[in-house]
Amino acid sequence: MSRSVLVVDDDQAIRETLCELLADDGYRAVGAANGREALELLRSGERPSIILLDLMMPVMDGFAFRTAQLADPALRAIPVAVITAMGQPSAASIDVDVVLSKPLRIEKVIELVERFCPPGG
Amino acid sequence: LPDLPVIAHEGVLGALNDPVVASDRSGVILFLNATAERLLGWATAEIVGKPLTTIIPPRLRPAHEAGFRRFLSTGQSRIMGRPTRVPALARDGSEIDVELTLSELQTGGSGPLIIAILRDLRDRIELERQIDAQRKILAQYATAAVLAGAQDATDAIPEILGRVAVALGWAAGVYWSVDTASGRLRPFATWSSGSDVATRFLEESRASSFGDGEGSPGEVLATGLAIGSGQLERDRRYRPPLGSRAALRSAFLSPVSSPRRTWGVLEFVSEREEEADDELRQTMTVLSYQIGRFFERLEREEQLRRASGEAEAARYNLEQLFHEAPAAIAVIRGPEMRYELSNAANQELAAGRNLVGMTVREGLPELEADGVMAMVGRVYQTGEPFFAREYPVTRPATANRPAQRIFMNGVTQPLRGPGGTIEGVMLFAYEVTDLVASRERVKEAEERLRLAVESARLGTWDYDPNSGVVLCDARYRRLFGLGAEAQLTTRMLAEAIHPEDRARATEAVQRSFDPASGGEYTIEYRTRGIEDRKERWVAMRGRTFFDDRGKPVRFVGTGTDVTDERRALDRLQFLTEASRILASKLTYRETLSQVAQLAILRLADWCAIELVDDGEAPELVALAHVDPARVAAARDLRAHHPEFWQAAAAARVLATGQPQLVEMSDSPEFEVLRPFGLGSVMLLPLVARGRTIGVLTLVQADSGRTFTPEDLGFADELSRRMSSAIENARLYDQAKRAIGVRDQFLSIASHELRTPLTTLTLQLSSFARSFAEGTFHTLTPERLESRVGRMEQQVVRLNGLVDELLDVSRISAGRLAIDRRPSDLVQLVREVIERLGDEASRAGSRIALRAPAALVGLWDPNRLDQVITNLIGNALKYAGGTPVDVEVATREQTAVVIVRDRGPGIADADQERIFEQFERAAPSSMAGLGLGLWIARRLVEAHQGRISVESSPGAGASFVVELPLQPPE
Repeated sequence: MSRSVLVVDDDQAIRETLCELLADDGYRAVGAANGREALELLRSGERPSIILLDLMMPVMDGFAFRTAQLADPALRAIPVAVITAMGQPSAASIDVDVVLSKPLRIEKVIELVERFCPPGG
Repeated sequence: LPDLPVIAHEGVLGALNDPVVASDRSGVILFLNATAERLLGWATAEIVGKPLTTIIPPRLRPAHEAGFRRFLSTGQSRIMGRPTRVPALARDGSEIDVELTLSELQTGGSGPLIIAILRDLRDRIELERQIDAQRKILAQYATAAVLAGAQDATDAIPEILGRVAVALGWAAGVYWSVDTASGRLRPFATWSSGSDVATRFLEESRASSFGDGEGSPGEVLATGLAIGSGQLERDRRYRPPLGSRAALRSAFLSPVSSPRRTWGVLEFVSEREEEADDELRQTMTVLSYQIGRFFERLEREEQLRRASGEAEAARYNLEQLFHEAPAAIAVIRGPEMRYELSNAANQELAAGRNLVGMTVREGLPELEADGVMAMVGRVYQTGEPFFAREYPVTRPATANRPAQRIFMNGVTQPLRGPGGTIEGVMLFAYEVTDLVASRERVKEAEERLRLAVESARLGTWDYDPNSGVVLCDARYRRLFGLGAEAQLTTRMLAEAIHPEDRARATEAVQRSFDPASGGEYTIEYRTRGIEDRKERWVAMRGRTFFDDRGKPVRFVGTGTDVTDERRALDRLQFLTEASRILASKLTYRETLSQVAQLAILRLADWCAIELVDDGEAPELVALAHVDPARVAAARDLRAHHPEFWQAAAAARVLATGQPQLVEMSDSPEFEVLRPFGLGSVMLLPLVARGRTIGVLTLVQADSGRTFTPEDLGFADELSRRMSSAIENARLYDQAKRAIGVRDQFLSIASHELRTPLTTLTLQLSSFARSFAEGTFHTLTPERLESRVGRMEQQVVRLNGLVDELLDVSRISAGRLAIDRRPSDLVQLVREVIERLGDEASRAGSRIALRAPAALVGLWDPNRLDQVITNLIGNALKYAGGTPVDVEVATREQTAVVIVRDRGPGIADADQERIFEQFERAAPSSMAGLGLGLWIARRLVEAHQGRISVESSPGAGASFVVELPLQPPE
C-alpha cells in the first residue's frame, strides 16, 4: 500500500496547497473539490491511507460523504481526518478519527498523515 | 413585562360600589375611584400624587404614620384586612365616619398597592340612631299596652320593668314604692336580665330602703326630678350601699307621680354606658307619668269597689265615684240634653267649663262636629248603648292650651226611669290619646325603619329558636334565591349555603347562641339560589337575645347581597393572577392555556383563544371548558363548523377589532352552539401593534348565566393583558431570531476569513519548516513564485472580505459616502466584464453585453462598480456554465442595468429576503458572506435608485438596477 492521501476541499487554494506540500514530503496526494468527486475517485479504485475531509462544501458536504463512505463496506475502513473552519462542536458530531481546525500549520498535517501511513510503505 | 400598575386596575377599582383609594408603599395616592371622589369631594386629578394623610384628619395623622411605618418595616398592621371605624377627612374639611378596610395587592413588577376601601357609615349610623329611637317608643308602647289591660300592680309593674329594660337594653330595674305608713321607699317590684351583676344588684336592692332625701332614690323622691348617671363607678352621689356598683356603668332614676301625689321611683341600671340624653329623659318621663296615672286609676277603682260595697253610703260614694273617677262621667237628661252631672275628669275634658245645667250644645258646641250629639241622640232614642273605642273628639282650648284632638274609650248608655222609659243618657269615657299616639309613633318608626332597611338594600330576618319559625322579608328571601311568597325553613336556608361555607356559618350561629358571646353575629358567605340556582355572596349581621336564664329566645338581623363587591374583588385577583401567569414565561401559547383555565374558574363556562398569522386560518391555541369531558366536543364543534367561525362574530371581531357581546338566543348564527346550552358569548380582539392578531371567546352556556356589559368591560381588560403578553413574546421571538441570524452571520464570516488564512498558514509554516530544516535553498524560483502568487491571491481575498465587512459597518452606522461625478455606466460595465473574464472562463460562462455606446449620469463610479461586480459575480456563480446576459438601457430619466442568468432561479418567498442583511438564497455551503446583495441594495438606494429581481425556480434570475440620471432635487 502506497503512502497516499485524498484531500477533499472545495477551496481550490487550500486543496492545491495541501496536495503540493504533501507531495514535497513524499506522499502521493490526490484532490477532490467535493464529497461526490471524492466518492467517485474511491469507487474507481483510489485507496488512500487517509482522507483529509472539509465539511462545508457544495454538491456533497463532508457529513454526507462520511455517511456514504461508512455505508460502503469497501470504503468503510479508510481513516478520515476532518479539517474544518467551523467551530468544534459541530465537527464533533461527525464520526471520524481526528478533527483539526483551520487555519493550521503544515507540521500538524504531516504529523497526522504519518500517523496513518505505514512507514516505508 | 411593563406591568399594569394602577392605571390598569382602574377599570376594576372604578367599578366597585364602595369608595376605593389606592396608594403605593410610600403612601402616595395613586388612584381614587368615582365613589371615593364623591365621598371625599376630591377629583382624581387633584389628589393623585398627594400623601395618604390628605384624607386623614390632622389629629389622627401621627398614629396613622406610626402604623404605616410599622407596617412597612415589619409587615404587621393592626388594621390591615380588619374593617375599622374611623373618620375620613373630606376636601371641604368635614369628617365622614367610614369603615376602613386596608389590603395589600401584589401587582408583580411595579410593587404592591395599598388598597383602602372606605365604606360610608353615615347611613348606617343614622339607621342605628333610628333603631335606638324606635326602641324608646317601643318601651312607651309596651308600658301603655301593659297598663291598658292591667288590673293589678303586682303583675303589671314587673312586666313593665321587664319590657322597658329589654326594649332599652338595660340590665335590671327596680320600682321603689312609697310606703304609706312610713313614707320610706321600699322595693315593690324588680326585674333582671339574669346576669350575675344584675342579680347581685337586685339582692342588694331588695334589702334596702330609703327615706326622703336618702341616696339617689330618696333624692328623686324629695326633688321630683329624674337623675341619670353615665359613670357609676366614679359617682359618689349614687346610692349606697352597693357592692355591685363597680360592675355597673349607668343608672337612671325617675319619679313616678300623678297630679295628686308621688307614688314612687323607677330605677334602671345598665352594664353599658348609656347617655342620659333628652330623648331618654323624655321617654322615662312619659313612662313614669303613665305608671303614675295607672296607680291613680287603681286607687280610684279601689275606692269605687269600697263605695259600691257599702250600700248605706251609696249615694255619697256614687258622687265620689262620679267626681274622683279617672274616667269622665256625665249624666244628660231630657230631649234637650241638659247636663245633670259632670265629674272632675269630665270638667277637665270640657276645658274647665261648668257644664251642669247647660245643654250639650251650649256647653260643648265643639262636639257637634265630632258627631257626639248625634250619637247621644241615637242612644236616647233607641236605647242601644254605644261603645266607643279610640273615638276622636276635640278638646276645647283653654287659656294656656290650644284645642286638641284626643281619643276616648268608653260607653254611652241609656238611663231609664221607673217605667222603663228613657229619661237620659250616661256617658263614661277615658282618654287613650297616649296609647293611640304611641302606637302611631311605633307605626311611623316601623315605617321609617322599613324605609331605611329598604334603602340600605338590607333583608331582615327574625328567628324564634323555640318554635323554629323564621320570619323574613322579600329581600332576605332573595338572598337565598327565593321568590317573595316562598315558604322558608331553617333547613332550606342551611342547604342553600354554599357547601364550602356551611360549617363556618353553622359555627357562627352557634357562637351567637352562646350568651358568653353577647349574641353578636357577623358573617359573609355564599348561597346557591334555592329556586334560581344563582350563586351570591351575602353579608349577614345580627344578634341573639336571651331570656334571663341565658336561653336564646330571638335571633334577628339583616342581610345584604355583596356579590358585586365580592365579584369586583375576585376579578381584581383574577386579573392579577392572569397577569402573573402571562408575565411568567415568554412562550405565550402555554401561558394563554393557563389563563384560559383560570377564566373558566372565574368568568365563563368555556374559553377559546385563537390567533391569526398573516391571513392564515385562525389557529386555536387554547380551549378550556368547565367540564373537561366537553373540551373534545367543543373542539369538534369548531372543526365541524368552520363556516360558523368564518361567518360568526369571531370573524367580525377580526375584521373590525371591536369587542362584542352577543346573546345567543338573539343570533341564529349561534344555533350550532345549542348542544352546549344557550347563553351569551363575548368576543374580544387580541391586538398587537394596532393589528388584530386573534380573538378571545368567552361563552356562558351550561350554567345558564349571561354576560353583562360590565363583564364585557372586564373581559376587555383581560384581552388587553393577553395582547400585551403576546406582543411581548412576539417581540422576544423576533429579537431571538435576529440574534440567531447575527450569530449565524458571525459563524459564516469567521469561516470565510479562516479559509484564505488556511492557505496562508500552510504556505508560511511550510516555508518556516524549510528554513528550520535548511532545505529552503532547494526550492526552485518557479516553485517559489507560484507559491507566493497563491499567497497573494489569498491576501486579495482577505482584503475583499474585510472591505465587505467595512461596508456593512459603514452602512449600518449611516456613514456611507457617495461621491457623485459624471460617470459612463456602459464604460463601467465593460470594465467589470473584462475584470471578471478569468472568473467567467473558469466558470465556463460567456458574458454577453447589450448596451448603447455610452450612458452618462451623476453617480459614484466606484460604488456602481461594486454593485455591477457583485451582480455579475453572483450570476457567474449560479449560472453553472450557461451564458450570462448584461443589458444597459435608458428608460426616460432612468438608467437600467439588467443582469440575467440561466441558473436555478429564486423562489418567490426568497426574492425579498435575499436583499436583507445576513441572508442568502443558496444553501449555506456556498462561499461568501451573504452580504453582497444587501450592500448592493443600499448602494443603489444611496443613489435614489432601486434594485429588484424577477425570477422563478428553474428559469434563471434577472437582477434589475434602476438609477436616476440626475439626483432628484
